[in-house]
Amino acid sequence: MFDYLANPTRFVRIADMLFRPVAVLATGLILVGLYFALFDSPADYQQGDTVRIMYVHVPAAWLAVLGYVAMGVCALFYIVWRHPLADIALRAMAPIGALFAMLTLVTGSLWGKPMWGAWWVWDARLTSMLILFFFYLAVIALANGFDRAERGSRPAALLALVGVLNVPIVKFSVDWWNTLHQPASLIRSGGVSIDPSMLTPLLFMLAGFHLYFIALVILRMKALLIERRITSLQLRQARQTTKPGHATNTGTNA
Amino acid sequence: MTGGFFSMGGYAAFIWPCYALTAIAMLWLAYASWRKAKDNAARLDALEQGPPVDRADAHNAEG
Repeated sequence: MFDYLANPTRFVRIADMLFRPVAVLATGLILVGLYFALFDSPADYQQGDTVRIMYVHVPAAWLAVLGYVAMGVCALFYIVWRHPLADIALRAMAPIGALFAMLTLVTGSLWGKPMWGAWWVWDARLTSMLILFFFYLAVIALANGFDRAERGSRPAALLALVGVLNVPIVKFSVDWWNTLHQPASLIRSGGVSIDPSMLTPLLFMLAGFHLYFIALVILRMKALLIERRITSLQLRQARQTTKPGHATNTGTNA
Repeated sequence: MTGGFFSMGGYAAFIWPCYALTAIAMLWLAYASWRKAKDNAARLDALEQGPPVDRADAHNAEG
């Protein structure tokens, strides 16, 4: 299946077909999720209305982490098989993941102040999430830091792979260390441990945010593929403008 | 009732910025990505219409 999708022309065709339904579905799910999150879900008995921050904080955090895993898989594909589409996917995902990592930190901070009494603590979960955000930024910087874009692809992919080591630390930090951040409450051994009235908005937002991520990856990959094509066309045109000289040379030689 | 909704049980200063920042960030990235795809497509179109003239020039020079 990967081989089938790995053809860039075919990819653009499938991407064009998928983009609209995915984007519409993402918007719909997020709007329904917002309705439940703000109007039709109870305040927490301990945290009051601040629990509503969860409905944007948790989906953003999931995508920051899962986006990084997806980027790591692309990095592996690029390093092992050198497929240009894996590089394009990595470049498309990095800014979206970075945005979600930033939103996780900011919404977390806005949740931490009223509940913990501090905007920031050097807790294992918060620190590892901050490191994840820095990895995203470094991957973006490396991928775009060269005058010829392709030169940055391999260093960026290698750095992205190194950063994957941080992902289990983010995920399990709340179990390994005694953190101020609460442990996982959605997926826990023993099943879902959250009331349906709060689970509904969370699930809608999670689904919507994931589809938003997919829609944006499709859109950004398409933009990057067109950019590559523009670069190769410009190179060809540059070669063509030097061609007349070559033509007269071969003419005199013949 | 609406007063209660907007004040968010006294946590309005934390909850609304969360939602507003998330919305602004996600809409901005979606718009920027869409814009880039559109601009690139237009640039490619212009470029693909450009070459035939160049190619004809190159052909004349060769001829």
